[in-house]
Amino acid sequence: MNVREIVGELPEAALSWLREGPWTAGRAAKGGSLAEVLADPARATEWAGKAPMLARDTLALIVRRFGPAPFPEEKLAPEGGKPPFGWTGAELRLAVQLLRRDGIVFAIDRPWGDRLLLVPSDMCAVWRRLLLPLRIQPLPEETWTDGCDAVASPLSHELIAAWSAIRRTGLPLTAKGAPRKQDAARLASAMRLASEDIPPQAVPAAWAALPAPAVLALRLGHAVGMLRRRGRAIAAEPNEAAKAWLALPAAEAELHLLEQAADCLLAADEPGAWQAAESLRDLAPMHWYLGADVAKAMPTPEAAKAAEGWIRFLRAAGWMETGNCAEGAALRWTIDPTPERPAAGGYEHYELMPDLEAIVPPEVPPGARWELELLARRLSEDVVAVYRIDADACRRALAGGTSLEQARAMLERGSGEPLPEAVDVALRDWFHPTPAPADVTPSDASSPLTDAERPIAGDEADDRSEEAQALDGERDEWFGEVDAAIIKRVASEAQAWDVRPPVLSSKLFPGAERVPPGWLKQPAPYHVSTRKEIVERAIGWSAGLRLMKERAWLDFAPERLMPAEPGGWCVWGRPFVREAGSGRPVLAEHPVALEAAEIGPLVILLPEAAREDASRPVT
Amino acid sequence: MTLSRNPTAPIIAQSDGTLLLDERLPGFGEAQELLRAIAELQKRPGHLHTYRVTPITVWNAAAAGWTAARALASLRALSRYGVPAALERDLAAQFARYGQLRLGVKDGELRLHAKEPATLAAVAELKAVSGWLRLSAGGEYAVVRPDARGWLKRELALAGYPVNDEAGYRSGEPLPLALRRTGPSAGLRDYQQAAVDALLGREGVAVDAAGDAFAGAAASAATGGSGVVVLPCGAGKTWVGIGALARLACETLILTPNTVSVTQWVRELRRATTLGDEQIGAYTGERKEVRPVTVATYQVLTSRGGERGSNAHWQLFQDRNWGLIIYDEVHLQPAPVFRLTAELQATRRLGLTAASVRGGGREGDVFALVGPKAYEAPWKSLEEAGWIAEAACSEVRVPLEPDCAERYAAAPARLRSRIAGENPRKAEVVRALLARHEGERALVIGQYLDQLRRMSRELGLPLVTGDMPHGERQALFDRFNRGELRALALSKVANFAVDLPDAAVAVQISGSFGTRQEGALRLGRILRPKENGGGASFYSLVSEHTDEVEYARRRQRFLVQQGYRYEVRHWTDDGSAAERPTADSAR
Repeated sequence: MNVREIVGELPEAALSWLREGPWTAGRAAKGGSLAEVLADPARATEWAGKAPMLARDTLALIVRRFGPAPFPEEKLAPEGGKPPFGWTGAELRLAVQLLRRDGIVFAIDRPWGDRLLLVPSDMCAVWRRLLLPLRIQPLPEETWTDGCDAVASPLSHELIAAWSAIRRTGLPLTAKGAPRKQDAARLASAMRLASEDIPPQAVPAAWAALPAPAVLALRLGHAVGMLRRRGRAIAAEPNEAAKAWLALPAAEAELHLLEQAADCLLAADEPGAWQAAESLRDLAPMHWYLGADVAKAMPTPEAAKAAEGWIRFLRAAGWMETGNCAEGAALRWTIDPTPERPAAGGYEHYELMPDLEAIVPPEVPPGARWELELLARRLSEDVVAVYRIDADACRRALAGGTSLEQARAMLERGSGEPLPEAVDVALRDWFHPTPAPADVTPSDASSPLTDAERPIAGDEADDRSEEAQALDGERDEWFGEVDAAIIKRVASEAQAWDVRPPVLSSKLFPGAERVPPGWLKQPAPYHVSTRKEIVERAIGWSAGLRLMKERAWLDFAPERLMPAEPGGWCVWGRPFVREAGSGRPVLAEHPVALEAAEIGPLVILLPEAAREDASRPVT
Repeated sequence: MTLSRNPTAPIIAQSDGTLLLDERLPGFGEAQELLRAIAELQKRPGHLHTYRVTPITVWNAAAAGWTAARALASLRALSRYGVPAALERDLAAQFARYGQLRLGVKDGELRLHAKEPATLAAVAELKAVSGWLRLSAGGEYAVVRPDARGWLKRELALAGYPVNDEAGYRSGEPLPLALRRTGPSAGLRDYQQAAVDALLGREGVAVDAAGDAFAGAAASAATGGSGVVVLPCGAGKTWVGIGALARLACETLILTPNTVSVTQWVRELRRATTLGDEQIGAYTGERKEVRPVTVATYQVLTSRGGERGSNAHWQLFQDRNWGLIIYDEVHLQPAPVFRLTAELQATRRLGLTAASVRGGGREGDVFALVGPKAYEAPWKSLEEAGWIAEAACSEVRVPLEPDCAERYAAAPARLRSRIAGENPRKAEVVRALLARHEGERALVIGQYLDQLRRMSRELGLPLVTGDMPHGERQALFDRFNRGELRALALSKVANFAVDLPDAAVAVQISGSFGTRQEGALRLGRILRPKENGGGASFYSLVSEHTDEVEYARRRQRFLVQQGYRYEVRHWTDDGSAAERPTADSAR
């Protein structure tokens, strides 16, 4: 879920304390909605530079381990072993509260008492770029790659062709809500992608018998808003979001599709896959990188492994190309995957030629292709696509309700020029309201089109059947049984965002108000049994200790209490020192045991904010 | 999505070998030169020209001296989205193939040499050619069976190995002749001369050796003395052939697609050279004259029968010691003639073709058996120089009268074409067009004799049909050419055998007019520059809302792709060709 969706579900009580947070209040006061403030990349950049190191490290830890997937808070601190950034569990708990306060992390209470945390999907990518950038150098400019293997056309072109095929004929669903195999096979056959290019998790178990490219077209069609269910069929009818996508410049549209593909096709419970997909976007476009360097730079081994499959898909989608140089296999983006890319220039219109062919440069918005598919036949697809305005297509469009004027407008809009005379004449002939009998073939006459063949522009009266209008209510339903992303599933199951204000006091640590305040304030000598209680309490809170050992102060992160001879006890844990400046704990590599007798005066080290606020109520 | 590297570069290079050239962008001229060298023009509707790179075009470029490095560097610099890796690979590979193999003669043997011994070994193992080759003891070369020279080149080209044929040619029987330096069409135009030079080397440099059966290396290093010249329709390809004949001064066999062309060649040879009538022969279905310069049709060569059964006329190739064979419209020659050509590799060959009629899958055979492209002239520059007339193609939509429209709608499909074609209202359009072009000589061409007879009667036009005796027909043509007749009505059959270079207007009233290539050739016949400097006009009358519209649209697309202007007008009830929606050029 993204920030906007989450904020949209939060009650006012939660919104009010979110608005008052130190990283939010100032910006919210300047105008703009809370969602806009929380999703503001500039705010994120400032936060990543100035927020306490504890909070920054914790967020980096979350993003690296879980990505945008929800996770139980207790999984944040690893069980045993050296914690990744050295922070104690108590510090991490505080950090989570800070992140909630700042509207970076949100919590969900599940009905059976579990509690999950998550970073909104849109901001998770932003935080990854800020906190965990891929540090890697491209190959020199002059590097020559041999056997460079690039697909000439990007995925959007394939999808528009597939969706156009659905627009022409519709896609009936079986009683179980799945497309028929033969229809799916026909859809897939019109696409160049092979099943093995598509991540296996993209195909839900219920649709395993269908060709993966067809499933890809359907899933992305729904995600983008191009496809919707109409009764017992899937129809290609762009919704508002899809119309906005169709109007984007090609580079923007392709990037949006890339993001949708990552969202749809990567398993949400595999953070490595998300991490790989996001990290690859740090590679500069059109620069070659060694595959081995990329794998090595990935934040986790899981990400390195997942990157292989994702690169295969990116190549098949025409967004990346691969090759070989002297040092080994190499890859590069053929699109600009970075959100901060410069505005794309180039050709916004296609060339409409007097021989009725349209030459479509790669920069042209997808909407132009979508409209061309209505009136023309695609002849070839390479660096440019070539379409030919076609009698059959025009007559189908006419039967589907497109008028001559609409057809003209589409082509003039797409080409940015008045129509060549030959095209205008052809349109007049083919959109002639009463074609001579010879011009109407039996197939023309028997295949009037559905509403799906209406043009996306125009405001003609809705003369569809009552049945069709009655079905409008289910337009946005998903078609078929598909494993939804875990985030969405969890959110719908829980329906309970944790709206309580963040706790930045000792209340964060259960029972803290019942222990003697001295245990938390300053080191003091205690009886061995009290020392044991203090140590147990620290372990329970995953907090550190400051203790005297051999006349020297030692900061110590206790991990477990063990019996010791004769009848005594010892505590295993790691000594640590604080890094100058950041305050980040630097833990000993190996745990050590402290005998009870070795421990002199001691105090529990609750995280700073909690101790300072211990005596003050949190409002 | 391919990222744009250079948004104003004029070429879009695609991985399938297609190259689009935008004539509006800077660098167009340079790009056009490049593409003309390494690719062939497929079409040029509007401002976007489409070229295609094939192995043959690359070998042609290599034969003309281009290298892979030069071609790729230029292509990269002029390409908007860079050069796809697949295209780079293909170009580099095909350039590397050219020059690998060459044929030569030494010690009386025809020998095949390779730059790389491995290539020679690989070639020798090809099943298709192994029977014609014998590797020398050391493996430095392979001895080739003399009668397999052409077949070897053809098969190796098919296998992707072009062969440079440096084995030389027989000089043929000497034939003293000269070009006439006086008269209305004396001498070669500069581009015609350039074509001859490209084929044979510049005058004075050319080698016209006599004596040996093989006259040694050809004059032109690029073509080996054989090759193809590409000129637009109406640009005077005949004259290039005559120029080569005059340069080589040897007995020559000229092969053409039809008897019209035979007539045209004979007439031009008489007019342009010092050859006497007794030295020029026509070898057609009607006449079998074998003379020092003989003009024959492909058809007669491939016709069977006669005393010797099949290939009865192939003896023509052996009858005389030809020093040059000219193939007019070389891409239209039938397969049997290609086969014969394979056995005539010791004779110099000149292929003539129009850019607009190439195709048909014969490019490989033409390259291997006739020779690489030696010269190609850009149409636009010839048009600008006034060497070919500017052609305007118009389609006039003629409505059907209500009763006729009803008959059309009720008729079975097989009869509809005729009802549409014979639309009576076309007569008034023809009358108006002839009035509009008063002073210009015009042809009215139709498919249906009844319609033509009616038209002939109504408009007072002499009618020429296929049934008309040749002499009678020729008499009408002669009167037309002399300007005594302003217009002729021609049946489709007659039209295929007509050579009326002074016709400036053609009006097609019915019929699909054969293949698109034939249509282009026919249009080409009226493209010769007119005495008054005017252009040529080609009209098609099409019955509105009938099948004729789609037939015409296919022809329109082809003509537009060839770069012709094409406009559609609508004949209105008040008897005018309304310019609806506009009459702007479709070019």
